Amino acid sequence: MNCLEFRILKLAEPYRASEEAVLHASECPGCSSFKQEIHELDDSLRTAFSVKVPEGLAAKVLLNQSLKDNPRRPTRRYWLSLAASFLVAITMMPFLPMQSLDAEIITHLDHEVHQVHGKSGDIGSGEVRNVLLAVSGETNGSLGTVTYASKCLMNGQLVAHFVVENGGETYTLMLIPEKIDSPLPFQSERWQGLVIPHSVGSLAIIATRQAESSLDFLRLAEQYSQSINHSTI
Amino acid sequence: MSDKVITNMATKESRYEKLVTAYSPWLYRYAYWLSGEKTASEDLVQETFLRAWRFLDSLKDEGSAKSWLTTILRRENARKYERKQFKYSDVDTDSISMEPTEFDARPEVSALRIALKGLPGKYREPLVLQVLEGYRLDEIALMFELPRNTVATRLHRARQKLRAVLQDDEEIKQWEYR
Ligand SMILES: [Zn+2]
Repeated sequence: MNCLEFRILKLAEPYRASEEAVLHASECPGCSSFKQEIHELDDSLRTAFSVKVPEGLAAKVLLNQSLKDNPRRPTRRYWLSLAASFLVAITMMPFLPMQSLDAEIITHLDHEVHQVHGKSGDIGSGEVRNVLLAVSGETNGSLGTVTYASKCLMNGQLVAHFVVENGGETYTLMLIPEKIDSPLPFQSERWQGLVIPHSVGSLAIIATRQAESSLDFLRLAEQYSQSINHSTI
Repeated sequence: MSDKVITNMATKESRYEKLVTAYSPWLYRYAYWLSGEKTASEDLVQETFLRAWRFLDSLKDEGSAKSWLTTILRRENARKYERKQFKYSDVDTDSISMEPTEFDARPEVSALRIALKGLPGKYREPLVLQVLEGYRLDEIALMFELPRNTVATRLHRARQKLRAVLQDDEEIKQWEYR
């Protein structure tokens, strides 16, 4: 084996060496140090390639799969096409089931993003309580810093919309009267979040997709669902 | 549902769970070096596993699970991002340095990462498989459906290019501090 052959092999498969190659390196100082250099390069490469994996990725994958496997209720489009085929579309419209909840939330957030953006400072517990009342909810005061609170109309139903701060991240919380059967993770170009069943109906927690991708929505949703209860008034 | 169907389902679920837990970190890293961004990588991993669930019965041998999943991910990526294939050269390096928690932040590692991002995908992909997961040349060749020699040449060129970049970097540094 000559030096060129040795180096070509080293560059293609640094950690596999034939007997011939081992022999060549032992006899040729130039190639021996070349080997050393390539091994160092590979050590650095290993570090460079090792990007951080988002925490909770496996859990998210499993949740997503279990939801995909349980067919959700028919979509609004399905009902519309059904209604159209019976020529009753117009009169039926107000009674049609809503769009799927995640799509409603995304639409609502996209719509309100300018209003909500850039608020800072706690708005005070009175305002929070007032907004919660709209969905028959109340808080035990452990919501933390709330920078935005609003009663919003989302597809015909009144929802409580909050922006809260927690551990350096900003989240949107929404208390929605509509009930769901099981947790529903969702994602859009701008948002990522999770809706869970809650005594009030359902609770959505949402972050932007620029936020730390290791967000544990299940844990956060659980935390916030304990801060908000059904009103006993 | 009969008891047998339920048992089969439970077996499938536990088998699936093991695959997700064992291989999602690797698939995410691989997806990252294919697509170049966090969001796209997470989506790719999600889609890979959804597809894997549907075709789980076709995976006969658990020993080949990683290659099987990696191949699914490569195909998903080709299918989805073919047209808007990430051009690393379009990314300004600010967006890289904005993610300090993602990476080892030592300057030499940063330089290497930028060099890797500048490398064409056909060189970068086999390199990730070989360096990060210890795949052998013939295994990579099989996965990429390419002759072994072609893969060898790509790996050889990849390391040559990276060495050149790093050496240039070294020379610039020496020149700057002279
Ligand atoms: Zn030699």
